[in-house]
Formats: sequence, C-alpha cells, structure tokens
Amino acid sequence: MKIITSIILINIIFGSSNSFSQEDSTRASFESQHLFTLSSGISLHTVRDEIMSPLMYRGTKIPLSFMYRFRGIENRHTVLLYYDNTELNSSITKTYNDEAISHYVKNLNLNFEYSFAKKVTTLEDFNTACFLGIRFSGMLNMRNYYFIQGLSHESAEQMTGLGIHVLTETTIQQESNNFLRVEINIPCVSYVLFSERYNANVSEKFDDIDLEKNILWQLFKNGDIVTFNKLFEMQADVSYSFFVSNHIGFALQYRLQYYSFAQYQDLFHARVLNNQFLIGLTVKL
Amino acid sequence: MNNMKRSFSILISFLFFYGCDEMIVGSDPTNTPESNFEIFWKDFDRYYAQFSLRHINWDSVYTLYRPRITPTTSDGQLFNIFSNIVYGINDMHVTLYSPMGDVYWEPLIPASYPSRRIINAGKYVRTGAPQNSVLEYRTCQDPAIGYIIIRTFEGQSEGLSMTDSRYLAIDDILSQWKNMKGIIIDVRGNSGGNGINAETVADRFADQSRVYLYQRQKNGPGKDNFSSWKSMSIEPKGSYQFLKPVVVLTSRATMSSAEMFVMAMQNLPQVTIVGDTTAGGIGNPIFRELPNGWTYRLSTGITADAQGRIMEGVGVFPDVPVLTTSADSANGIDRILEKGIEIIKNSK
Repeated sequence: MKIITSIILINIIFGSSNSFSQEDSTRASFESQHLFTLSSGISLHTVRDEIMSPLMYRGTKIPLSFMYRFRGIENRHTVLLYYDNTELNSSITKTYNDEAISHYVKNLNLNFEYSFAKKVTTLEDFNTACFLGIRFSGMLNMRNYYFIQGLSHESAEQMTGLGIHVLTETTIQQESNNFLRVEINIPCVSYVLFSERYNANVSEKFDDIDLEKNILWQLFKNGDIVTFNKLFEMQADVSYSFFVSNHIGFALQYRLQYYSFAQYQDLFHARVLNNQFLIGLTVKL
Repeated sequence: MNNMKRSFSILISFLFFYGCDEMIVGSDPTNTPESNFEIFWKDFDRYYAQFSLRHINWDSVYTLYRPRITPTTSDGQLFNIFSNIVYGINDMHVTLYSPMGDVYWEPLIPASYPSRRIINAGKYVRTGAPQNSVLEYRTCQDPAIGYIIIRTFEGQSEGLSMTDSRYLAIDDILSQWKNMKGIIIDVRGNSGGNGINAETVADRFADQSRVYLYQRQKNGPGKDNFSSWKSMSIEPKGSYQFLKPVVVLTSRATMSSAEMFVMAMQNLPQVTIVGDTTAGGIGNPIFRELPNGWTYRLSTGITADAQGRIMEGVGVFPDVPVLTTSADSANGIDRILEKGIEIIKNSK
C-alpha cells in the first residue's frame, strides 16, 4: 500500500512539474503571477444626498488601497480593500482658520471587492486579452452632516452586490510584464441597508429598531434586495503596471466609482461619485 | 508605441470625468431669493409634522408670501419674511439660523422667570461634592436627601451604544446613595438634547418596564402620511435601581428630551413632579440648509404621553404645581426646591 501511495505521489510530483515545464515553454513571456499592490494618492469625493441637503458636498483626501491580483493564464482573481476618510465641503461651508465649523460632512468610505474573470477572447493585433466574470463587492459610505453649532445628522448607504466584471489587459511591450488594465464593474443585484429613508430621522426600515438590542443585526435584517430600478452602481478602473525588476513594480491607477441610490419611493436620490488617482508599489511573486 | 499612445488616451479620457462631477451628480440649486424660499417652503411641506396640530394652512403661507419674493428681494427682506413664518408656526423646535440672527418661537416664559433655576443654592444644597460634566450631584443640607441637577441631555452617541457614556455615571451616583431617604432631580433649566441620554437616566429609577410615550413621524409627502404610533419604554437598567422617593423639578424652560425624561419619570410610582408645566415641544427635529447658507430646524414627529395625550404645544403638567415668584427670588427662596425637599422629608 505504501509502495502504491509512493508511486502515485511521485507521479503527481513529476507529472505536475512536467506540465509546468510544458506550460512554461508554450507561453514564453507569461507565467502565473501573484501581484500585491499597496496604493495611495488622491481621491475626489462628491456627494449629493437629497435626504440631507439640496447641496453638493465634495472634498479631496489621501485614500489607502490594498489590492491582490492573481494573473493566471486563463483567469484573473482580484481582491481589493479601500479606505477613505474625507471631510467634504459645500458652497456654504463656513471655515475658521481653515477648519470647517458648519455645513460640512465627515465621510467614511470603505470598500471590499472580490472579482473573478475568465478569458473569453484574445485580440492578437492589439496584444489584448479580454476577460468576463463576476464581482462581489461590499461598500459602506457613511456621512455625518454637521449643520450648525456641532449639531449633526447621520446618513449612510451600505450595499453588498453581485455583478458583471469586464476586464481587458493589454501588454504594452512584448516580452515585458508591463500591462494596461481596464475594467468595468456593474453590480446587478445588491442587498442594501439604510433604505427607504424619508428624512434624516425617518425610515420605515429603522423606525422600529430597538436601540437596546443589537442595532447592527436589526439593520442587517431590514435590508432590501434591489436591482437597477433602485440602485445604479458603476465602477471603472484603468491602471498601468510597470516593473523595474522581476519582482518590484509600480502601478498607476485611475478609478471612478459612481452610484445613484433611490430613497423613499424614488423621491430622493443619493448620488455619490468618487474619483481616485493612485500610485502603488507592486510586489510580484 | 501605438499601444502606449492608446493607453494614455484611455487614461486621459477617464481623467475627463474628474472635472465633471457636477455633470454627474447635478449642480447646486441657484442661490436666489426665489429658490431659497421655494426650498424652505417645500421642506416644511414635506417634513413638518404639526401643521394640523397647530391649525396652520401651509398652502396659504405660500400664497401669502411667495408673491413678495422677487429677484431683487434683499437678504434683510427675506429674513423678515422667514422670521414671520417661523414665529407663526409657534413651535419651539422651529428655528432659523442666519448671519442676521437666530429666530425661534419661545414658550411663554416671562423675561424674569425664577422658576427655571435654583435660587440661593447654598441655602439648600451642600457645596464641594464631586461633580460630573452633565450630572451635577451633591446632597441637600439634609444629607439624607440627594440632589442632582441635569442641565442638558446633549451628547453624541458613542459607537452603537447610543448613550453618551457621561450619563452612565448615574450608576455610580446611585450606588453611593443607596441609603438616602430620597433624591431630587432638577431639570428646570434643561433644554434637552438626545432622548436616549434621558432614557438612560430614567431607566435607573424604573421598577419594571413601562411605556412612557408614543411618537409618530411624518413619513411621506402627503399631508396625512404618518407612521403608526410607536411606544417608547423605560425598564430597570444598571447595577442598582433607586426605588425610594424621587422628586423631579420642572419649569417652562424644561424642553424637548428633558420633557421626555419628565414623562418617563412621571409614570413611576415613587416619583413626584414638582414645579411648572414643561415647554411642550418634543417633535424629533431635523436640520436643513439653504443655498444662501441659512439653516433651519423643524419638527418631524408628534409625541403623546403614556395616556395618549398630545404633548406638543401643551407640555407635561406637574403633579404638584409650584412657582418661584420674583418676590421669592428676591428673598432668596426657591419655592419649588423647598416643596421637593418637603415631599421627600414627609415621605414614608
């Protein structure tokens, strides 16, 4: 029995190393890659939340993003974590010594994404591979509106979605690992919290929340499954990765995130636009 | 090289979006007198909950004032019009904040109204006792009677616990005062804050779960769009509940969530409310803002007591009505506090 097991193990090991060597010989300049990128830069966050104010609020901040990418021969996996804590101002924000004292918003933006895509075609003339897949994403956009004398109301959207993930990767120079990546993500079905709000205090979803019990769990239970009729969300991403050595590289990234979420019988909308310009350090394994 | 050019052209086309946020999320409403009036009027129309209660025909407000607003209406003229509207609503939770001043309707409190504060404190209360930033506590001259003055229920929630932790000091105070004959809680000058903080304090005096008020919210644009009545309760919480005699001192300056506190306490068997009727404004207010930078506050709810009596514009009646007059004040007499001490002393 031990002999049989040993033979199987040896076969597996040698067999797999053979298959790897065959694979290597056929793809010349491409091997499966694990890319870890830590990025930062500048984000421009723009919000119009009609539940809270008729005015647009916007601000810039330095976000932090961590991305893991697996680049296989036929597929791609991506995990992204994004954090952005921004102070937003409006046309009526009053400041004192450059500090906002009234009519400003403290905005926390957290994102988590996992996407998987499979190669569907290759455009040889353009050195471009096209992928199609799905993306699972979770987003929390929480805002505290400071009106006057430190008095504030809270507003938030939280959405967890499953949607289409379209990705193209263009090799910029043959025989190099440098590539341009363009992706578009559109969630098709989302589970959203904090819905059906009528004003800062009122929503049939949390009017009955018992403050003495677990609020998070009650909020979670009171979510809604929505699709394009209530929530249009889109995220586009263009990044260019170039390597200065076999394992170290840089990534330049532009990311656009937008959603429009209808509240209370579509009477009000929260529209949020987030532009990010990021530069990151990439480690390739 | 072509690929490189294409890459940059794609990047630049995305950069285009960077400057187009107004195109995508929509631009601000114009800052004109007409626009500011329209937003102001419409916000009240959508959110204000007490038109019917206060016998106000809001459409007639539009009919009356809208024609007076023109592109040449000055800020001063607009301020006067808004002020007239705010005063006309007669709701202490309706306030206009502007660089020209704050406008709000006050309950009918005379300029000189000594009932709203402790008079000649040293005569009744010992000094030098430990203090808390929101719950000031010490004993009366009779050390068997505790005295807590709560000047506000303001305080933001921390995390998801909702209660400002400063109010949890009530547990420490009561654990020190287990042997007291009774406690006086003075909210005569308390203008409110966060109702959860009020409830947190009241919970420490509850013998069992008791509904203390009902609220309904304006939850739609129609004039009759209201939620169903929702009850709010207090229940025994904290390490110790003080079930011996308690007197709560009130006045016309006891407002908003301080009135919620009074309603919660009034339902408890060991509690007596002493003083004047409270202000009569609970309302669950929200803030809104205008393109010209002015801010306003309005009530989005209606509150009734545990018996179903509407409290808005009425207030909570004390169990023992007492006023401190100007003459009392001049003579260093706090009539309301004296009555409170007397009730504790005479309790069994």
